[in-house]
Amino acid sequence: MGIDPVAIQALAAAIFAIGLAAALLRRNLFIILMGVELMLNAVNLSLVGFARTLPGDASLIGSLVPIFTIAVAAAEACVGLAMVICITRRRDDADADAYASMKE
Amino acid sequence: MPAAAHLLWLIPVLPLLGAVLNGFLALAGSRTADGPNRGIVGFLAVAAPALSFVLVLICAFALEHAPKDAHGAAMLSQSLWTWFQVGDVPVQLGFAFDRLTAVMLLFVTGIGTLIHLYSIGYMAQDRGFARFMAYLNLFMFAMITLVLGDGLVVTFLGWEGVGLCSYLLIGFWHQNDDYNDAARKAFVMNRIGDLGFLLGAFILVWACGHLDYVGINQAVLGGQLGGSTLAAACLLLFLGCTGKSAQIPLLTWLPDAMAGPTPVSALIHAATMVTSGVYLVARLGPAFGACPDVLNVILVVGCLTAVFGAVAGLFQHDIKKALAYSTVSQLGFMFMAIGCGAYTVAIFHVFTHAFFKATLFLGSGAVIHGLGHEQDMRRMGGLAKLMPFTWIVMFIGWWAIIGLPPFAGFWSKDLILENLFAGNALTMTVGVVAVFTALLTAIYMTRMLVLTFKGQPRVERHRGDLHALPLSMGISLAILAIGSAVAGCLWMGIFGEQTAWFQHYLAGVLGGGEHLARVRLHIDHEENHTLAYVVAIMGTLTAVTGGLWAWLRWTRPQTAAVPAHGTDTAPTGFGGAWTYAFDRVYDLAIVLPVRLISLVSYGLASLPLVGPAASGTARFLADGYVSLQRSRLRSQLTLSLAGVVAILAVLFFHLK
Amino acid sequence: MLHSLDQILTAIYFWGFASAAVLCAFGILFGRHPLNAAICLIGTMLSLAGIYALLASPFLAVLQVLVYAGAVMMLVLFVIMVLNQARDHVLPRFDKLSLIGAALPVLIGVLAVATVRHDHAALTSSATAVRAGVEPVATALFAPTKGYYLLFELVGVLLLVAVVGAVLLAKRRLDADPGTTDHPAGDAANGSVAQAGQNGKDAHHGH
Repeated sequence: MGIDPVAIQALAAAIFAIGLAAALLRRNLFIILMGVELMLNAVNLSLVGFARTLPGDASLIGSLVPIFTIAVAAAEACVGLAMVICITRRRDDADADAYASMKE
Repeated sequence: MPAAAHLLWLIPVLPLLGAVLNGFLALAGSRTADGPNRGIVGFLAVAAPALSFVLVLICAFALEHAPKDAHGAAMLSQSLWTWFQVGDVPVQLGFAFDRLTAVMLLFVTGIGTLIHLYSIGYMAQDRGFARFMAYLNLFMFAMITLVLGDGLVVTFLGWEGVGLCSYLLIGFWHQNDDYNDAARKAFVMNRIGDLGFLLGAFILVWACGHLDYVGINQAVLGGQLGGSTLAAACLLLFLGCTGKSAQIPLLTWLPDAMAGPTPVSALIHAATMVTSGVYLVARLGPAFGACPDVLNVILVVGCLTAVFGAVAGLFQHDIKKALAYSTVSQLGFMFMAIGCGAYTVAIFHVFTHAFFKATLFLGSGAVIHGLGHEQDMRRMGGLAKLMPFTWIVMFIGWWAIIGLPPFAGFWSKDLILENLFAGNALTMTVGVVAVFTALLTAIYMTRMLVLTFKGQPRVERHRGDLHALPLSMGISLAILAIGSAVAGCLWMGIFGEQTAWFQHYLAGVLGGGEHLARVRLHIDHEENHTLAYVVAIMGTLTAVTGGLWAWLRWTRPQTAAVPAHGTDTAPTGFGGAWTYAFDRVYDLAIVLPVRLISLVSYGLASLPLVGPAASGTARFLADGYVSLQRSRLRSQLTLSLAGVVAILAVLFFHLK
Repeated sequence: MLHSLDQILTAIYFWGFASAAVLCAFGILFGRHPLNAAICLIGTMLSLAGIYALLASPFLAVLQVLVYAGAVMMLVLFVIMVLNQARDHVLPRFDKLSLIGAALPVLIGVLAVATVRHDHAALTSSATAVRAGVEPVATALFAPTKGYYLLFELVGVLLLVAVVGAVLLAKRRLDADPGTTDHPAGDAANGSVAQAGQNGKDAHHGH
């Protein structure tokens, strides 16, 4: 019954790829942060999808891990936004390419 | 296995706890005017090793009721957990407690506790009191780990730990750059020895797959391990011992180590740490015993070091330097005993030496403390009347070290000489040199004692000028002096029917190795009472002769001018050349070539063509590499992701 | 082929949510203004919540709506609006580097789908899978012997640390130079990479 697990994984892969593209290709720091959130969501979906293929109580693990992932993602968003605030306060724009001082 | 075996881990952990607590107190109190409360710090610092001492006593008694193996040796062991596993060799974080460990730990924790007590008085005025106590406790932890470890790995942990604490404590007064240099010198020279230790351990684990002492010794006794492989391993391990125990060629750090506070010199650089090399060899007795060539090397190195130290001791003006060279010389005696296969005697000398050398160092510390940090013997003299208690203590220590009966040094030194003369041609030759060294010992120790306490005072002092001796220092000195007097009795028959209780006590642990060593060295070991009496009389006569001559020589009024306070105490002339011989050799063999190479490279670089070419190449390479680095975050991310995709693709098509 | 109404409805819901999620995700990727992108992200998250519900994980669905779409995204929107990033939509969305890197996400997605399809025989819905409602999840999470207590506590500590860290990072130093925020941002909007990089250096050297 239910939905084809392969379709769920394909959906997760698609969302992950789009999130990756957003984090990789865009220059706006907010969009990069959202791309990361999108990737985390895709991973959660993938976990839940795989969990539905496991028998009995083992299928519950697929719901437990995303709980912790969501908590960690919340922490990550919290610190990430604080860093964006710091950065925009320095330069008044949110261009990731403006921060290129690692090489020196 | 008795319940006491489960307490083993507490023996090292208690001082560690003391170190951590005192470290916290030191940090917490660092902003206040005179640091944290000295009462609390001192109590913690003394209580930790004292409790360890009690635990060692409990374990030593429990050991007597533990089941014995075929050689009559009992062992308490505790394996905490598997530390790591290399191939199929698991390395346990384990402790083993047998009679050798008991002897070592009893004096390490016992004398250690006394020296902690002494430090409370000695360091009371120092700003870094808590830091000092934390370091001392940390040293106790490392030293106990070294002795208690059940294999080379755990021992190496302690081996490095004592090296670190030695470094920290030599450079304790780090405002003085000379002291920092001394600390670095000790550290670097010990690194050379540690490399030998490590390589030796690697060879052993490669050859027999064991890193624990029981496994290695059984492999040797069972014949799976031997020949040149074992000899190479033992020689490398002995290199480690020369570093830690200040033998030729790695000895120059020990006299410089006297930069540390006097309790440090007594605890680390006389009584405990420097004897760990002797302990290691005794612990691996069968392995070393199976390599007669290595034993011969140890014998000769010990002999040369003993002579070198004794002669250098004659020329020192600094009271602590004189004692330091005496320590070098005495360590040489211990290795001579090892070299002729008499492990028990070597450990006995370690044991007695710990008492009388700690007494002498702490006594000299009392002098230095009393005179307000004066260490130059040329500015002392006639102090016996001013500090009678210290004089009596030092006199007992002196009586013990020059080998006059019935104090501790007589028994152990006499036994070493006896074993040397009972051996083969080489050991007998060494024995003759050892008697000469014993004569020198009597001379330089008497010189030190007389210059300090007898004769005319060279600097006018009154009783009121001196700092009073704190009670804590007095108690430690008294107990140690009694120990120096009676420790030798352990070899007499008063503790049982046997004539040599100490030897009997350790026979189960060291007997096998001693027997193997004597067989390989072709030494017939038989009770020879005539020889024993001859050697005892000869030793006593040597000590009396040297002592009397030196006493008369140096009680005469000195004609040399008395230098001002703070004058350089380094000996000059022949004495200086002898004292710094090895430093000169290092200068010539290592420092000079490095300087030359640097000079030549510098010259080359300033030539018209070579220099620009070299710097151009370097710049090209560097810039070429830098141009590969991406500065923008997104470029970095893209590139690393390209790598991830490549790996994923390879995995995908490979697994398909 | 005959399907029960239940299955047909499930399929319709799933494909509806899936297409909504992907569309909203593209909205993030191509959105001009961060505010629009944030709204799209909320859309994706709500769609995923629906899919969780379809996958018999109602607890997770509720959590997704409450924590993610509710709390986290509110924070993001709040920050965007407080900082008033009006200038952001002037920043070009993509540049040359974006074109070079565009292949990578596509490749990763293709590889993931290919892997799953390759092993699709092993992936069949389990008939005995437990419906992950509140009670089974709570029982598994806090099982008497093999629960996840330590992990749970650690996540709590992590959140606390993150909050403290965020406050420390974002708070304005009391003794800070008031001119900091008024620093001329330069004409980063012209899109020149080198120019922007130069500005970055200036900004760093300037403080």
